Amino acid sequence: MDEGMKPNDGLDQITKEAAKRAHFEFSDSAWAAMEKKLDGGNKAPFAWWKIWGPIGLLAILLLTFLWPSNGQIDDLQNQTPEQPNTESNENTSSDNEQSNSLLKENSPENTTPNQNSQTVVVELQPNQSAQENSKTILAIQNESVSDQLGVRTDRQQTTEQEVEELGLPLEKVLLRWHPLADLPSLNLSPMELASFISEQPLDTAVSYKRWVFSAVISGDMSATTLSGFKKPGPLVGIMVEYFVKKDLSIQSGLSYGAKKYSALGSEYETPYWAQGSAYSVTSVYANCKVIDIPLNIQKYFDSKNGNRFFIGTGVSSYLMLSEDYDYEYSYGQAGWPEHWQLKNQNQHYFGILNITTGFERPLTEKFSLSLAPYLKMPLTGIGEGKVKLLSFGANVGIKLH
Amino acid sequence: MTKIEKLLELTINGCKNNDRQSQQELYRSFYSYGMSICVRYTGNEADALEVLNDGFLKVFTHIEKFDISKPFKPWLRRIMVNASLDHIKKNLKHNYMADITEANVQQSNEEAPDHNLNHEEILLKIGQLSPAYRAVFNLYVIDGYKHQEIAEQLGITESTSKANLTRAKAMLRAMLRKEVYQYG
Repeated sequence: MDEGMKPNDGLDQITKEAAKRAHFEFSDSAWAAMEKKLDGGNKAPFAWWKIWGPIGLLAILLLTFLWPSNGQIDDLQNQTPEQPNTESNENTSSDNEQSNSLLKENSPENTTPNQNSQTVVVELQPNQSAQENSKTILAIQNESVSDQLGVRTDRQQTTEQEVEELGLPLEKVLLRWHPLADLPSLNLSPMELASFISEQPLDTAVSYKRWVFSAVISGDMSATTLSGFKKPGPLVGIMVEYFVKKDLSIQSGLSYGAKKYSALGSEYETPYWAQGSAYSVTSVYANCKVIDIPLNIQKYFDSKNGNRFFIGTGVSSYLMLSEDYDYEYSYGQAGWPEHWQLKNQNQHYFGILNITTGFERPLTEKFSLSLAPYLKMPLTGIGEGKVKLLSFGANVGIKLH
Repeated sequence: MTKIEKLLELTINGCKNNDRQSQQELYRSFYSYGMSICVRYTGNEADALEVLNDGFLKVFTHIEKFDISKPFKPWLRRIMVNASLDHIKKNLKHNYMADITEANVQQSNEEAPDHNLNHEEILLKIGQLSPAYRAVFNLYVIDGYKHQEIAEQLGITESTSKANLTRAKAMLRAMLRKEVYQYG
């Protein structure tokens, strides 16, 4: 018989008695060490996202709201060429005044149309379409140009008389009048001027779709650390976007996905079973079916050929439909399960921070294709194990405008 | 429910609310009990304290899931034993098998040797056994595990567990006799 199998020998009695009766005096230094461990243990292992998350969010929001809109960009672009035009107009005006002073002596009645052409005020009729309005403007502009041309013809005639009187070479004098003197020689008809302006309606009304629907599919990678991504889970979803501005939308929807990940025992909060909490868990393999309801804000940037880039951020709510966990223990204990399944036990409302960027390319007038990589960061512990679950992937979507 | 049990329940509830004072109270109350477990697995008080604190950290982080209707001491004991085994395993990776194959201990009788050691010193003597021996000895003799459970926990066979126990007992007897010889 093995010695170990012999019941209650003397050595057993001595050691059991010693284990039962031994006393170790409590020391404050022991508690101090424990307190230090407690403070260290309470530190969240994912502190980095608390720092970078808000910074990223703030940067995106700043970009979103401080980025100039298309109208502002047009204004900025128009401001630059306006400067020389103003100077040109001023020159023209001063030239006109000069010519007018000359003309006044010869034909003062000719100054009226020229002055009128500089002070045309167009009032658009609210019940008129933008196209009609644009035509009205065109007609007025053309009339003004005709008037100006008429004046300049008179001016040219007057100048020629003046030149004859002064005895100066004609070319030298005409240099002063060059901008205006060229116009009659072009023989521009009003129709030709109008052809430079698009027949499309002016962009005074909403020229973009408010509502955009999309179907997305992705391979969703999940992990508890940045280096732990291993196996993608499928993700499909339907999204809807409401454009509050041409380049700014609010997005929501619903997607169904499988979060497959592994976690270390230290990252997973083991539940308390009948046999006690399984504190010797070394690894957990999870397969969770999740409904993801995002609420994002997205900013769009126009690119060439109707393509658009966008960035977005927001929060997601996870509804955990089912959670399947497989456990590995450093040493087992009777009653600790190797597999555990829960259904509809956990919901995490606004518990995930979304960051996304993407590219959108039009396919037809109504449909476009989008590719949007995303990163989802936990704001709370996810699932029964309350793990800090990171997810990333790239949504491939078809958008209906 | 006795007054002590009621006090313990209040302390545990305080710990569940992450109350530092309750944590300190629980730690102070079970410090000696925890140390008596850790010392015999680690062999010295410094390591024992480290293991004790690791164990208490698990207690505090998992206490929310502790069923207050069940006795606390067995739960704490299991955690301390497992924390101690974790500690042993860390130091066991390379010499675990050597303990079994190279040990050459004389068989001895089952009588308790005479000694003049106090309880704490006996525990420290147990802790001076090689890691594989003291793990099996503690688990089997003091903590009441069966060889099958020990084999599962330590990742060894049952026969290895039995062999280690035999050698551990022989070695411990020899160590206690030595104490008698030196000081008796």
